[in-house]
Amino acid sequence: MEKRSDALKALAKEGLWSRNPALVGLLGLCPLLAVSTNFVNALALGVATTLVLWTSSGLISLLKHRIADTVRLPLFMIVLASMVTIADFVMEALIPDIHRVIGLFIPLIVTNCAILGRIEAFAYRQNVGLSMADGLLMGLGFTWVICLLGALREILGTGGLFQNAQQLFGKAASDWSLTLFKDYPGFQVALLPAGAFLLLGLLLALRNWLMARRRPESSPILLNQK
Amino acid sequence: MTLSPIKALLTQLNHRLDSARPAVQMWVFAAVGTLLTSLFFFLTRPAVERHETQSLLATLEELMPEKTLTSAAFKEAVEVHAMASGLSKVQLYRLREGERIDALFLKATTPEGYSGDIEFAMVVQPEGQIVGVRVLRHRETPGLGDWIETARSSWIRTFEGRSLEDPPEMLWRVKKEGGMFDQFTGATITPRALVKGVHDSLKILKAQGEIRERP
Repeated sequence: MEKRSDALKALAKEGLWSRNPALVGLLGLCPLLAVSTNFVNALALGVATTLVLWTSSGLISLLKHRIADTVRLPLFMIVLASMVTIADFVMEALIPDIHRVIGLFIPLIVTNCAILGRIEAFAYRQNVGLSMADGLLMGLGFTWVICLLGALREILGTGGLFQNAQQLFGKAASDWSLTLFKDYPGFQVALLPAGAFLLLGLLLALRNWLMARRRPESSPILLNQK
Repeated sequence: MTLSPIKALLTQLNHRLDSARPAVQMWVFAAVGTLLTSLFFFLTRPAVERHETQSLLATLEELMPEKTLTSAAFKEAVEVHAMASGLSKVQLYRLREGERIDALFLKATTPEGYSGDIEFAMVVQPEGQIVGVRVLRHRETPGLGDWIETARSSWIRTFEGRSLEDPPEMLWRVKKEGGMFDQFTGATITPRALVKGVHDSLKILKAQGEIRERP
């Protein structure tokens, strides 16, 4: 029991921080940069990605003895594509307004190499419980980064936060929208792709700085992966 | 001695089956995946269609509060041939008051936005004047191209009252190209796509004989 909770702790640390798919792996950048124009869209895509990774990890782990090594990648893709398509349909039915905006990027979750990477490296080799925990935590790692990026871009670009929350949480959320700065002139760059790259770069720099301060001997992120 | 050929055959057969296993697995996975996705497709379709109808109704209500799409109008909806305009999915609902056609409600998609498709709906009087236009769906740049939304600016209202004759053909363009419609700072492509889309829609209605000639 102790061992299990230790393993979970290690997985959490890896997924959320030390091997975070977005901050360290720099995987799934296409949706990360394209959808993070505001917090609500980012959260929706983050949750969709997490659900897909969570269910696919569980399924692959469950079926791993029925998967021949030679065709494992196509089989992973079939499972992933099915899960993504289902997520796409469900989002279209449940949150149509958000699906309208980010709909293009949901099918692209299939190509998010963070997901295929975790399935190949983890779910295919571990038991179902651990695999699902790993999928969930890696997904949450992706989600918090994309949400932070979305929130930063929304604040910098429009001076507000949680706009369009009702599209995700229903009518009750229509007054969640905050205006942080009155008469904010808007900082257009933050909303454009260039701003996404700049802010992600700053986030990476911040993370590297934190890591370097904690362990002065360690090299920058891309080099210290074993 | 006599058994060995049979044994060899069996091993060979087993071997063959082994090499077929990946193929069988792919078949089974693909079949189950297809089955599952189809199941969810049919489960979610009613809700999706309901949302689409709702957003169409909401748009109509905004443009013509006194009108609503009766189920008869829905049944009568026609897919209009878009000709060479570049518009796609042009759908026309004739709003009737008894036998008389009161207004034309048209939904269309132009592919010429800065980031692909822009779906819009418009209400046109039978004589050809535009009652109003609204954008239903777009992916234009936030902060630049999204000025076509009523939540951002009233630009889209410049179409109200316009028709094929007003302004004349030459002026159905954005100002940058010598027309009469404003573009936004930093975004010309988005308004140009809509101006062209709306103009083309009117032309289609006219060509189809939906717009009455003025006496």
